[in-house]
Amino acid sequence: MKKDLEELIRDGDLNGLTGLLSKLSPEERQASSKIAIQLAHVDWTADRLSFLPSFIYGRSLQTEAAAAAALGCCTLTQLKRLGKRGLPRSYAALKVLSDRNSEWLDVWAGNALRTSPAIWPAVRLLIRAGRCATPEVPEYTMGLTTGIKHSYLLQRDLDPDDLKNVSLDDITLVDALQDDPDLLDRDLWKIFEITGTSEFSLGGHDSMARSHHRYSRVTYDLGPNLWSWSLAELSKSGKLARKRLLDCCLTTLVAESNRDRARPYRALHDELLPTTADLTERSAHYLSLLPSPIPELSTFARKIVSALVKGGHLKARDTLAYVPGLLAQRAKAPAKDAVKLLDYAFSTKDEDPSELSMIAADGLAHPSPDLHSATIERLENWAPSASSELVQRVSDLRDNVAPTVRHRVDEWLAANGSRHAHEPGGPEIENLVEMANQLDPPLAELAAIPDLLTALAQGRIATPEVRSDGTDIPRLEASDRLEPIADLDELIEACAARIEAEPKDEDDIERCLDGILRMTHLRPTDFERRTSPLRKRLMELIQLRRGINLQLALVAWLRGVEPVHEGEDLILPLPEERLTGSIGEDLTFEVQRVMDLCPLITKSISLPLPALPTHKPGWIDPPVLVERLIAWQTAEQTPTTAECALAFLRLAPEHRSDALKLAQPLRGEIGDAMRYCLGGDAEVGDSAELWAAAARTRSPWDDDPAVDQRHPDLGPDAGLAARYKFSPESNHYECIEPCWHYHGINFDAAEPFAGWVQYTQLPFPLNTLGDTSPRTLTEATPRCGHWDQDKPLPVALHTRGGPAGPTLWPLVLEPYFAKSFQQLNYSLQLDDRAQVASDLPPLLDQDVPLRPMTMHTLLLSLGVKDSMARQAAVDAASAAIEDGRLGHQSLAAYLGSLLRAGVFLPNRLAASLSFVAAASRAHSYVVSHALLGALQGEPPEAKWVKREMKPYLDLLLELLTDLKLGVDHPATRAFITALDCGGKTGTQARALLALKGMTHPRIVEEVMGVLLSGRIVRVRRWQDRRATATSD
Amino acid sequence: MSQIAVAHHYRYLYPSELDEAGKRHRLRLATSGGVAPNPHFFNGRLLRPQRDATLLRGLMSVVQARYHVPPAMLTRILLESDPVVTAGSERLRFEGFAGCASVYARVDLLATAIDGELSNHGTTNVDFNPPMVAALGRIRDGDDVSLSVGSDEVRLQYGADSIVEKKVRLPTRWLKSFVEVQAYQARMEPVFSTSGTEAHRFLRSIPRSRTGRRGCCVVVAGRGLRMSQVPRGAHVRVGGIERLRPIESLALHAKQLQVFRDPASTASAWVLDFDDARFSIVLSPDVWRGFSGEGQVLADLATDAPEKLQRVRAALQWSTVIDPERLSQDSGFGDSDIGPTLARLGARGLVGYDLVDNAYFHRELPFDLSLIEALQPRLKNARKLVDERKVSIVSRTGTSAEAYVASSDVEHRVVINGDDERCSCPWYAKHHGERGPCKHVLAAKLYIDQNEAEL
Repeated sequence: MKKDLEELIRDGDLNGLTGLLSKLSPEERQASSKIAIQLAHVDWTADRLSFLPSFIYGRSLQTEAAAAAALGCCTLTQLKRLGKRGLPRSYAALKVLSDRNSEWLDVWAGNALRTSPAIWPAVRLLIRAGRCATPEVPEYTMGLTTGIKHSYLLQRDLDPDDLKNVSLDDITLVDALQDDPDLLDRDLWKIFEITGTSEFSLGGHDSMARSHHRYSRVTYDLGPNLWSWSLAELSKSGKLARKRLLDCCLTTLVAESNRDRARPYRALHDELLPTTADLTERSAHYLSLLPSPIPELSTFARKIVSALVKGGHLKARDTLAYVPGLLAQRAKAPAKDAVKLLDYAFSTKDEDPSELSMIAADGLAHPSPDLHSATIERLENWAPSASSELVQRVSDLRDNVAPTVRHRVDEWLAANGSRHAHEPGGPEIENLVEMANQLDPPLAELAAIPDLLTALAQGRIATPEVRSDGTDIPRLEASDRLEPIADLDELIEACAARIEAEPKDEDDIERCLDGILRMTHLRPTDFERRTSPLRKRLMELIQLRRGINLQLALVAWLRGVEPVHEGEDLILPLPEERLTGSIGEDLTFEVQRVMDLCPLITKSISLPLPALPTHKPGWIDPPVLVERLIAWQTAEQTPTTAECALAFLRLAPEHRSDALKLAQPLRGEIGDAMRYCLGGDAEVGDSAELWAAAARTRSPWDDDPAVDQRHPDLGPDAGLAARYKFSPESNHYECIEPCWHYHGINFDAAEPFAGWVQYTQLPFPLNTLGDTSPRTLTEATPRCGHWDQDKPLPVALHTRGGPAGPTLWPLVLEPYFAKSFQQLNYSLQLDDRAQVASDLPPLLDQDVPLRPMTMHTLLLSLGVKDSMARQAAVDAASAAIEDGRLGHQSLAAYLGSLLRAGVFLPNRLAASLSFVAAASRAHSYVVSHALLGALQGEPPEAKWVKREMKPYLDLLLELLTDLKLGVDHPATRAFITALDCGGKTGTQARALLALKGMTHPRIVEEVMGVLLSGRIVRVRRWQDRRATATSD
Repeated sequence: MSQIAVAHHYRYLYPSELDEAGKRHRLRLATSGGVAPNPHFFNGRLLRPQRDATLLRGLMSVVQARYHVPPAMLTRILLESDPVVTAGSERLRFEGFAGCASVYARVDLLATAIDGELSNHGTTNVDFNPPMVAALGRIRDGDDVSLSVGSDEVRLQYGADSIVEKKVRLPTRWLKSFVEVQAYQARMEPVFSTSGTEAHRFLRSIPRSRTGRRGCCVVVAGRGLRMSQVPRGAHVRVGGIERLRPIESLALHAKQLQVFRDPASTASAWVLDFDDARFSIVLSPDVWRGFSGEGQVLADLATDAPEKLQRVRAALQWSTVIDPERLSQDSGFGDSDIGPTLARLGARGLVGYDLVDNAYFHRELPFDLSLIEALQPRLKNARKLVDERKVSIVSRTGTSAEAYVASSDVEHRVVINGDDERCSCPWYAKHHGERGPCKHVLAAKLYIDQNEAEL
């Protein structure tokens, strides 16, 4: 019998199975349950069921047969454990269950619905057949929301062949509901009591219906497929009580916090066409909805409440409890409506104006200047002589008020006997000047401190940038020193942590590799016992795929097995099993590097890892590298050129002359290259990658004619230093439909802004301009990060993201930022999946120069969608202004070109810039003057383009007002004048032009104090590093 | 597999409600469980009714929120847990957790916020039904609002028909989180504080979208705070910063915001101070890490000293702020014993921790507390390892020990050196003790405790 059952399942013979099960005794069924469960767990890949209605997702005949067998043989507990695999998806399987006539069918129905609410049609069939009671679980109602049409079909018991021709679109919800009248009396009302999920809820159903309708090739009426429309129709025909529907609808909306789930209830509310009397009767609900976290619901409620108040159907005082909630919302519209409600209340003359003023004062905490203006207007009118509590409240909020409105607040406070405390100034300028004069002159010159002091003496503001290119300053910080792994216990623990999870510190992997290589000869007596957990875990986790590196070294250390690369496969010939993984013909640089180390590890040749950083992030103190290479030479071993190239690129700028002296004993090509890196003379050898790396290390920003002559055409950053040109073009433009703001089909190629292009979708408009061999970075990029034996690209290896990226060539991060730039350049609508935010922290290193690629990455990140990436960019820009890397002139130049190219969503970029400006008045100065510099040149003609400038004008107006400066530059004035196209943009343009600026000594001192103190900190840091280096 | 829910029965004599009549309101909170089936704790008036109502709504916004839904989360574990209220000697505390247990929220109404009589002490569940919570939104400061927590009179007034019974599957994470969160709070230290206005401005800048697994720092910027991707100066690292949004609107009227952090992890606490009331939220180290799985109390649960616990517990007397010195005198134990004993009582759900007072407070959770240890799989497995004689001590000197603990097919090496505990197992390799000790470390410590004399 068991054999028959198994064969029938394997054949997917549902009819045969039904027949067999009907003949089995309870004992025989129990005996067969094991095989049914076993086969239900098999993932069958044979023919899939195609004749079932679509409530039942595609399932193989064998799986369905196994489920039917389980339903016929298993106990309730066994079926529960089977989960979805034990649910019926066909008439046959359902019949098997129904025929068992078990007492536990009620419980089974509840369990099945909990497992999947999609099983509702089957459960409903059993209920209507009187086989089980209605389960009292929320999943029953959830299933109803999506399963009602399927139930209608199932009830018809159609032939499978007929079902093929039935479309769910042919059945309306009204028909399906009227077909099952019991639902209308009881179960249907429960849809207002459950939360549901994105799939099983009214919102989920209607959203799916809309989507289906939108993409359907057949034209049909959407309404009958929506719950909102259908319930309203049933109400019109008297099948459902309209008032009850309205009440339920509103109760649900009050409790709802999800926009999608709320949508159909809101639509139903409107379909029910509530009268003014209905609305008045339910005003408490609408009031409760005012502070809803769902903007659409809040707007919906505000409109109704405002209409009721306006029409005299609702007392304005009843709305006052909700006003603080509206004023606290981030959007401007609810807050403005809150002020209107206060106006209504004031107009009744029933309310105490001082109480209304107290409520209104919260408007000053809103981010919008318009709200500040509206609030102070109320305070001026309602509370000319205010209570001490109100004065204190306004005084507390005063600093939040926009500069353009702040003077009105100050006047109101003064009229009420309160004078705001004088704003705190910047650092004490005399002390700063004294400190600046005591700094090391050459380093102070690099930081442009003399220029700052001159400007200060002349009573003006200047933002000269630091002149260091990163090679002329000490980089090794004592606190960033990396200690190599000390002993075997530490090595085991570090390796175990590394293979379990991504390390918090990327240097860990280098330390582990170094530890393994240095301690490979250590074999204490309890070595096996101590390393056995690590060995076991390693073999559990190991996967031969791209990016594998430490695991290979661990296998060599703990198992004595070296990996082999054959064709596209990486092979580990372990004694018990030969592990193989496909990783491609070209090995990544990291894998090749570890594979080169493995023979030394298996032979227990103990040596230091040449490229192990001595300091974060990725620096090597040059004398230490020389000592390591001497150790290799003493052991008569030669590191690979890849290892040496990486080690060279990590060399810090300091101690090079000391290292050069130490390097004299080094022999061979590596010795020559080492000395060449350090500034010595040598004849360029044969290994292109070694000498390209040496050339870049010796002088990263300059061409090396000797290396280029010996190894020409290696691409950017080899013999020739890479050059980048950013050239937005307008003719690579193809738009299917408006994607987002800028990419409308309204684009006119004749637009005076030649840069109004779909910049973000251009195929990487980057060009490297090598005079002799121009190459695009696009060409180089596919090879980046990969080690190709035939095409040596030593420097390209660092063009990769991730935490390790900036540690590969810490002196030059332009290629590292190229990856982020490519992503950002593709689209600024990137969300967190692009992980741009994690690539940006190196920008915060004040010794990383803001060269073109870095600068573009920084600016594009200020306008990216991902809020965390934007935050990182705001941090970086703020830090760069403070430490002197970023002045208003270079910011203006980059910003100008990008604004014209239409890269940004204006509101988003303006918000980011306002965060940068908020750091201090010095930041405010740099941002405002960068905007003044960017808003020059030929102005746009199209009105919509002009309107796009409003967020920048808003920001500029507030910043300049705060700094008490005006728009002086004729080119900027001309540009802004041309923006006066009426409306709000025109108003802001005129307000800007009307600003009368004059230099305030206190503001000059404050701005210059911030700039000066940032650079003093920086120079002192360089001095400390130099002092530490000397003492070392 | 560990248990995910336990059966719990809420039985309220009446639904909590706000009875409105013009400007006079009566807020009646129904109670269930704890020191009595339906205890009566308080009758009186709210002196700042709109503010207090807003705080209670803020608490509910946390309790009804779920900041993380794990892939294997069963949808049937619904949010059915009511907050608990503790009536101490001079204040009312309302506590609850978000559905994912990654946020703990508490409202403290101090003596100056309530005018009335605390008729009893204890902890109980409170019915926070949606109509009552919605009605709280209608309260204004000018209203006269009386508050009762439980009532002796309601039985007569409402009769049997009004009884609200909720048989729920109480998520075990709710129960476990209550004991874990106080362990975190007891370790926390103040980092910075700022005015309510500045706090509100900062909270408004928090992104609306979910930040997922990515963390960020909150740093001091001038007089206020700002988000940053890098730690600079006084800072707090926060994973899932959107969890701070419930306090956004509350901060505007707060006197100040105090921020605390746990030095051993990235858990943080944010306390809004209103002079006569406080609203605190404690964030777990990451949005996907509920407090329930943090294992911070495992070591305390593993330590048995029933007599000591009993005597200290008896001396707690529902103190709002437990004074260790006084407790030492009352219980007869030395000062050095009191701190660890309170931590063990916390691990058993018998005390909570107040960051502003920097002290424990007496609060006995109104649940079956015998479940707490039974719900800790790591501790159960450690005891099993000891029972099965899987622990062997290699060396033991002073507070140091080296042991091997046999697992299924490999021996794990445990090295204990004072508070530094290391193991060669994958759990330790992943978490380095940040999420509590692994079962091997626990087993080694249990074994050493049990065999102290022989070792």
